[in-house]
Amino acid sequence: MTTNPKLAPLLLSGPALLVFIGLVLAPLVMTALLSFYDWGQYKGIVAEFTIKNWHEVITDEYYYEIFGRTLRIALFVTAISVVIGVPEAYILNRMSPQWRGVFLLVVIGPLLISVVARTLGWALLFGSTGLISQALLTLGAVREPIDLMFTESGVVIALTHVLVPFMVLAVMAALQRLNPDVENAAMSLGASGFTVWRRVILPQIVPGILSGSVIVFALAASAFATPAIIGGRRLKVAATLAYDEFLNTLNWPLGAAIAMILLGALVAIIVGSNRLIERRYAQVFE
Amino acid sequence: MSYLALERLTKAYGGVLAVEALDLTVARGEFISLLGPSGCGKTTTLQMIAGFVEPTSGRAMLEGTDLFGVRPNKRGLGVVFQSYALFPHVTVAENVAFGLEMRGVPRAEREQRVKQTLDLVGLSGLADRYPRRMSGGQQQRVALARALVIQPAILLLDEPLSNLDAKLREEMQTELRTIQRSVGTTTILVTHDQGEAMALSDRIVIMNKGRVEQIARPDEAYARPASAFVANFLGKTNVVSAKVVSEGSRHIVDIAGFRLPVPDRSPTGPVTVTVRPERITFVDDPALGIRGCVHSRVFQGTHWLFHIETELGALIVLRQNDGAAVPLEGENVRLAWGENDLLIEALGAS
Amino acid sequence: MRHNGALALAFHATFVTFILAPIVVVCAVAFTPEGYLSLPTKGFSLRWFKAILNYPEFLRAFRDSLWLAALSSTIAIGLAVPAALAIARYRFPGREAMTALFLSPLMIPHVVLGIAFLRFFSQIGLSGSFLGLILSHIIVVLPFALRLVLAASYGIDQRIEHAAISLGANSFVTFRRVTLPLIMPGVVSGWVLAFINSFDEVTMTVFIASPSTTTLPVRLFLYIQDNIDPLVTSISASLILMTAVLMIVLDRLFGLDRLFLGSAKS
Repeated sequence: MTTNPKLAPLLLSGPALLVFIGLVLAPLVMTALLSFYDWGQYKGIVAEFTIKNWHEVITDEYYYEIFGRTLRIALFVTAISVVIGVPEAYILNRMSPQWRGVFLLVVIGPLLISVVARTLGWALLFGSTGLISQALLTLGAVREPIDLMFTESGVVIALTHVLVPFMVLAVMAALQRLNPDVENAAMSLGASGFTVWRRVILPQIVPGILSGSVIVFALAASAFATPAIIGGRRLKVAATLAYDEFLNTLNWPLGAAIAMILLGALVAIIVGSNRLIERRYAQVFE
Repeated sequence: MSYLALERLTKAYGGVLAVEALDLTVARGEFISLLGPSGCGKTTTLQMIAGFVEPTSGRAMLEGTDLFGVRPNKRGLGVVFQSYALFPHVTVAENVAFGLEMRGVPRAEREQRVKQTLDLVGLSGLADRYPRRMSGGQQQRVALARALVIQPAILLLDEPLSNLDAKLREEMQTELRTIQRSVGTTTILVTHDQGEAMALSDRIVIMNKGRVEQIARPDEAYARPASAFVANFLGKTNVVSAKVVSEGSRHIVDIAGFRLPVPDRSPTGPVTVTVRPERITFVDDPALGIRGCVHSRVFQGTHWLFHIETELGALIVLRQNDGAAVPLEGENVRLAWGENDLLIEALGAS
Repeated sequence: MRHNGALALAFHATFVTFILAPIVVVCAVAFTPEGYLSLPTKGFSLRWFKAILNYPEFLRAFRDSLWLAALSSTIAIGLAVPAALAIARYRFPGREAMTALFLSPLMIPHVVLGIAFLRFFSQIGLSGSFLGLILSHIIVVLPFALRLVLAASYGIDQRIEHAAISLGANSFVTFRRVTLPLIMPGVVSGWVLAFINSFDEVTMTVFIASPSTTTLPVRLFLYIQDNIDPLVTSISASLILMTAVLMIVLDRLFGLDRLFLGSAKS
């Protein structure tokens, strides 16, 4: 469009570039620096280089427990999302266009609803007087009221609900790239329905499942509102821990170190698994 | 005794008949083409045989058993798809081996048969490639090998060559025919390309709007098309209106004053007359044929293509390029053809 | 052969129940006539919806959320359109890195962004300001806007623009009369997705909002942390109903699957 092909891209992307350098890189660098600052109950933040925040987070078992719980919750949420999200995507993809449209709205639509409102629903369902407990009591499945509030299981269920649409989307995208004739081809060569699924469909959508898993895992590991509401103050995860350090204890440097560890771990996992997916499937899928 | 017999095969989508009461018998080893424009029902017919589409009614008897009673994955038919439908996540060899695996063929035999079949289609060195890394022609051969290796009762080809460029398509036609002859598999080809159908088939089934127009040998269908539709579909043709009158004991067709005797079974009254452009000749005799003026002429290498303005409308004429002089643009000419070059249909018959 | 079997449909029904249960429960409880959390078994009442009007801080937060979402998504789309054209059209050094930078807020946990902005704004004197909220929201919604505009820009046949130029249009006219109309679906859907993401954002905003300038989800979140009562259910139900209406409109306009499947590919 613009005549000079060297200058044009710079002019076009310049404004966004400036905003991002100013508002993403600068704050992140400042936070990284902050994690090396000193802090005291009475002196506040002191601009003196120290590694004590990092040392504390890395050696203290209290933080181990919280990071361990965060990892455990994220893994469970990812695994359950695969187990229920992949079949659901496959089922949706096989529906007639009209039904698919309706149910896509039902399954994907909640992504547009505030996560606070969605989590509130689980808070109402859990609890010893909540619907789940009462329903199970009535059915005779349990003798005592069960309380999923402030439990890891509760957090896992609610987070799976919040994040499974991403898995469905990723797998749907992979399914829609498949050539529908391939299924017929496998069938004409003698494969049964299950064999077609296992030998032909599944291997082709593995990249979609993996990229869905990366998204779900990353969002689960850094989730804040859902674990804060369902887990409460007793059941901390990495994100709620950082929040407490910042807004309750006011130990910003320690909170910054926690944030940096979370960021580093997630970026490493996302970039690493994307590389892996690309390398593993490069020769098959351009 | 026929090998495959389709009896009153019908498929309706809602109230629309995609295929209507199709009858066809195929002999063992025969190469049959289903030919017609898109939406004529040819692909639906193939998909019903393969089992991808449930027929509304009718039977498909393969050596005395009804195919429709057999699950699609047990029919043992080889299918080659327009999109090739190769498994993109496994190698060429694994693609070809898939059907043998499903039949529980032991590994050693499997490997040997895969190798044989890849040799047959000329892909000996490419067994370990992935399909995405191959050209269209190569993918086509893999698809053919995958369908042939299971020694199918029938080979079903769904527009297998239409994604190839013209030159490659011609090469593959020759090769397909050679391979089919050498393995002797009964083959049904679906195509919209009349050249392809005529080049490959023992017999052609010409379909239109879900119905069979004609089943005949290629040369027969071309020379004696059963309808104007067939004539038109199997190459360029001229359709003009005329009338048939009976004079004494004879029937005469009168085409704008050009009178020719026709067989007695011809309908009398207004008719449409179809005549192939290569059957029309230029004549000098002013008493013969019809008058016209050369509107344009196009040199096409092996022949000349003329558009001639006549009182019947524009006619196309094809003349072999034998080196002789041909009329110029704007020149007045006289056109004539013989009584055996005509197809006569009562008006409104098709 | 291509139909879902009974088992598949049973699975599907269970899945849909799982997805809808918490949403339906919130909406049901919101209509309770009682003064405590309960299902409206004895008749429906709008008392808790009327009660919202007695909490002006929620109404103010709602208004601020709308303004914040409208402003940040508009600015974000203004930055995203030229950037997307640069990325889609030109090959230049640093192109890949720049795209990665623009999409990076998708990868950075929002809690980390919240902390980084809290630190940054407190250093430059923007703590608790509406401007700070706008700036931070531009960053988190820009990737959504960029991806959809980018997808639309890659879809344009550049020869159409060349045709316009050959007919005598200058760069600006070509952009306004040819390019912009062609990428308009991407621009509009990108803006909508950006608006929704800004409106729903809670994790980052909770760090940088102040009691005087805050958003509805943040206020709701802070309220729920202390106390869950029918008031939050009626507010949440209102949000859910508004989103549902918006969702149906979006589905009619763009097709929800295209909006999301387009953005699910990275």
